[in-house]
Amino acid sequence: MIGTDGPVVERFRSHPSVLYHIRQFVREHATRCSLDSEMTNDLLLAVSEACANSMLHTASPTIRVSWTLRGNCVEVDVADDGVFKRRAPMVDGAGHGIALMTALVDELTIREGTERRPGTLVRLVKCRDD
Amino acid sequence: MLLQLARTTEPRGFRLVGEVDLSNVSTLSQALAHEIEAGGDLTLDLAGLAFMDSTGIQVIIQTARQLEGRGRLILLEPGDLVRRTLERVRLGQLANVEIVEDARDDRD
Repeated sequence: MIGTDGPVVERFRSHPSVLYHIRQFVREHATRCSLDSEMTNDLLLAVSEACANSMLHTASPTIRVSWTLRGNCVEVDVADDGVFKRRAPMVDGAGHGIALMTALVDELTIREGTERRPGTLVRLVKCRDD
Repeated sequence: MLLQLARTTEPRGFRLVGEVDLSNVSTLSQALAHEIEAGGDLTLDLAGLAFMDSTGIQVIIQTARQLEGRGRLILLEPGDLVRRTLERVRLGQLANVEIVEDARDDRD
């Protein structure tokens, strides 16, 4: 797993029924890049959470998922055209997705879309342990 | 692959096959709600579950809490991804949750 590959970009409809297909996209590229099962599973869950968050918190009709391999790291961008609806402080049950994502990847960046600049981007970077 | 839920009687609970996410988690919570009401130990066979997201984890946590004092929530043979997710949220710390890694001897 060395070298650069991608980005491979795929656009999905923003609907929970599509989450399975987004995970299949991740599985397919993880297999192609020979990631081990631990790294694949962590990315699978993190990407699924990021997409579910986009579906829950923005009204964007589509989600773009891109996959880039850089050396030992995989960078997955989840982007939509939405405006992130800020929530009041989390109650029990909410916000677990982001906490979980933080635990799953090496780097998590969230750029929230605003009214003036729509489009929320979540960047997940996961690197192979050496 | 969608989620398949099969009711089990010995032990009482459900066998989960497929993947749990935001799209189908309500099916799981509705099925469980009925059984939680009855009380007693509840067993979820997770051997065939390939994926579970945070919404599924929330349902598991809520189920355990609602059973507290009335029964245990027993999780049978979670696969790698599900087991690691359960560990990350320290589900085993809930007093009435039991995660059984190898249940072959207990099953018929």
